Amino acid sequence: MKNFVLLVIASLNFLPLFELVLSADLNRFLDVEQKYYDRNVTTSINPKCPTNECGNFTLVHVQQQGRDDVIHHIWTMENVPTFFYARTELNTEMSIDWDKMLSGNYSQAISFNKEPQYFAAVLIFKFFMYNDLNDTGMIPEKDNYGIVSYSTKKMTWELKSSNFSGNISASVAFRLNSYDGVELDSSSNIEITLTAYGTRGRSSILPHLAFTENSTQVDFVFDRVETKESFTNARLAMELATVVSEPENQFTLNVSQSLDDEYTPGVFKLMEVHSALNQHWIQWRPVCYTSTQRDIGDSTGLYQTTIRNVSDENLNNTLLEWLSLNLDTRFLLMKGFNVSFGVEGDGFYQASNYTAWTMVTGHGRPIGDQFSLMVILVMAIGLGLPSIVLILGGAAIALRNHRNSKDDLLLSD
Amino acid sequence: MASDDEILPILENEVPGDVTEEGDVTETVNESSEPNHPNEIGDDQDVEIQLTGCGASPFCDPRRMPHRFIALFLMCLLGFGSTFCYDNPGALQDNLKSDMGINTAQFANLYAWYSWPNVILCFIGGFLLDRVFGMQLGTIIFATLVLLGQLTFALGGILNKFWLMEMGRLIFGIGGESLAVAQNTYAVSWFKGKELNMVFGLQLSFARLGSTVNFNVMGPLYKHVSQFYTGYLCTGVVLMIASASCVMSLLSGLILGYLDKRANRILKKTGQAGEVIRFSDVKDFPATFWLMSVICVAYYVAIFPFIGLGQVFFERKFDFSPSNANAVNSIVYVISAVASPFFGILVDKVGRNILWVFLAIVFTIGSHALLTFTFVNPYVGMVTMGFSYSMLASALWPMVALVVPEYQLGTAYGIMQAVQNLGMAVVTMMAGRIVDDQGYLVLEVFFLAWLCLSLVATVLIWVMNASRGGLLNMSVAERDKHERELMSKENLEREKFFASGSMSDVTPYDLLQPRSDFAMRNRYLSRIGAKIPEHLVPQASMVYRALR
Repeated sequence: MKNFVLLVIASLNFLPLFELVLSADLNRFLDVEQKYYDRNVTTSINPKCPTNECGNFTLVHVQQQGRDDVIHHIWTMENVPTFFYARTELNTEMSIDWDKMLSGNYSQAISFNKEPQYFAAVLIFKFFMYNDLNDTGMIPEKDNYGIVSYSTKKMTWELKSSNFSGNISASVAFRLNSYDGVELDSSSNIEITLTAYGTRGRSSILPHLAFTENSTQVDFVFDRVETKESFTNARLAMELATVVSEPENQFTLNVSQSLDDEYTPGVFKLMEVHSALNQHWIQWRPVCYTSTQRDIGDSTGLYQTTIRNVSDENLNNTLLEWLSLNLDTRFLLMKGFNVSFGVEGDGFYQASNYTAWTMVTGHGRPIGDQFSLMVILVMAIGLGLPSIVLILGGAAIALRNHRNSKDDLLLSD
Repeated sequence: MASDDEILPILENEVPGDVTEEGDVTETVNESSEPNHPNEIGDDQDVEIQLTGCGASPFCDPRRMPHRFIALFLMCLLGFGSTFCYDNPGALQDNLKSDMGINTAQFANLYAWYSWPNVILCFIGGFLLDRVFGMQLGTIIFATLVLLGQLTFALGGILNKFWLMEMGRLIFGIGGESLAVAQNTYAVSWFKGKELNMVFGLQLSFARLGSTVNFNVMGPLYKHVSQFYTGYLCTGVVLMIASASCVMSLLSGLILGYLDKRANRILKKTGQAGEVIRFSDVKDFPATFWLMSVICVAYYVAIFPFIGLGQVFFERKFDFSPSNANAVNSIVYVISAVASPFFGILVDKVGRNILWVFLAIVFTIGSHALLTFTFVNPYVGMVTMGFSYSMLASALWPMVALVVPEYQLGTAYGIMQAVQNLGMAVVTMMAGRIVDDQGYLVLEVFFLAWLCLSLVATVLIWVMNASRGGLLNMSVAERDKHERELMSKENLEREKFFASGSMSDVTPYDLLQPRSDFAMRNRYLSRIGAKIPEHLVPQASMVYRALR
């Protein structure tokens, strides 16, 4: 009987194993339960546009209303894809002078009734396709074997879908429509999906990046992009740039080793670009997925270049110029870097004809990696239980030895 | 699992004190190493056959040592193919996954398929070898299965059919583990009463060598072949080349069969009586045995599935190149090849098995934790794991012989290996899924949880054992003393019993000692002077099993 009880105790130790297998979602659910931070998300597309003509112009306005302030996101793919946000006081309104906009005079047409406390933006200027003959995975500084660059100014995008679930999150997807007047082949698909949340948590799709209540997740998909015929080793890349309303426009790229790959299996690195005042950040994992189901087996890496200055002429006729801000955008120093998809030995873009990559950009500080509740629980039980059994068992034996130290029941006694 | 890590010469182990009720019976057990034993071969046996020509030279005369060592070399080669190919998937994990377009879960299945047949074969492998095929034919059959399995596995690569690869691993598994049993049977047949322990040690080290060579050769081989073939074709061709090792094993099996036949003729050897496995023994096994089985499963699943999945882990977490990742992965094998014999001697001399097992598990937890929660160079963790693993293997398997009577050891080890293979199959599959869905941190935590479970089992064994005199954790000197005391107590008891006449069958002592029906019946039978049934008498044939 006692043996049986002991075996039952032993089998209890299996519990963490089962829990481990079953409870991955439970603990993600618990992570999100941080009501204090929550913001109320409201969304509108082309707010207060008076006519139907706004249809060929898309500007998404997302507000994350918090306790003390509001984050206004303005996302647009017009001219240059720009993902802008501003932190303002409560009850600050954004207004668009549609008359001005529709007449083509975009400059300073968008304004806030109270000056933003802080603003920043991420812009995409160019996409590249290059021939990686030496299979390095890095976009060459000089055009050795052929680099084709596609300026986003020549692109038109269409709003493919939008999903505003209550006041919790807002998501819009844009699909590339045409480049330089030529329509994109219907079998190809280049998509950018933007999502803002009102809470902290992790994205439900890989790479499960952490988001905050004042961040934007940007997801890129390059599906069946037609590669240049002469490019045997084609790879894709793009140029990202960022500006902030900080006096010193300095950015740091921080590559951190992470012990924890439970959210992004097999990836132990986290890249982060942050501003000098640590107010604005861009975060991503060096992984891009090569199939729609996104798993560790269908993935490859990516490289980014160092951060460098980008001429602010590029800001001409972008959302930043259309905004009426106190700070003259001409004084904004812009910084940028290239991201190149794929690493050596992965068979190039043609191997899968699919690349999906996700980054998150936000205000304040991002959430650091921390072990999930499940991991902590399993370790605590796993190490705690043997200790308890050891202590209890030792005590039981000591007690027993003490009680019947002399009771050999032999006939010879 | 693949063969022969720890080979336990049970012959050398003392019969535990618990069975002294049948003291008069157990005494016969140790006679097996005495001369005149029917299975004994060797110089002191009178052999009349005169050899001429080459047969008379030391290298061809089965009675002489040089010839036996030629046979030993062949025995080592016999197992090389299967140990070399067992970890082929692990060494090529990266390439295999991308070439075949499989995820980690499917990849892990390749290992699970190896383990599944061995859940059953642990019991019947020895039986097939001894009773159905005979040692010579059985060896050739199993070596052929290994070769066939590896060829099918390779063919699956060439044809880009993953199911064929899985089937290949299944066939390979059917042959692989049984071949290890055959290898040991040969060793016993040729070296019993001679250099047996050393032979087991050599075979073990040679098996480890096979694994190590695999991890360090397959990568460069793949690189070389990839100049001529790409994709799944390359994987297939590389595996096909690896199957050459199985051809070599089969050839040594054939030559060995010939040598054995010849030796049998010259030495007039009679067949070896095989181990007896009776499931009815199961009910007699003490709880400590079952806890040892728990350790056996829970500990080993944290080592071998980990090694199988290790390459990509080291590449991704520690930025190792594929070949460096394989090198660090194989370090566990290298260390155990070298350290196992020393730990074996250490445990033999010192005793205190539970303590060693406990320490081994604690250090393994430490090494896994190091790999999981730090970025310390993985060589530190893997070297620690290698030593702890060798220590555990040296201390755990002999412990079984202390709690299970010798004549039931065949069944006991069969069960342990069966549950080990079952655990390995299930856990490997789970591990693959975990990597895909939740990553390597959770995988490591999963392994750590298993290790903690084995630690709980160890502590429970210690507690249960300590409450019953603590035989398992005695030093060797204490163990001897304990045995002598038990013996004298028993003798005293017996004298008292006979002095008191047939006053009663039930003494207070009887009431205090829990015993099985089996023991009761034997006691009864021996008292009435009846002959104890043949199959219950401890067999002269001993159990030799490939244990790792």
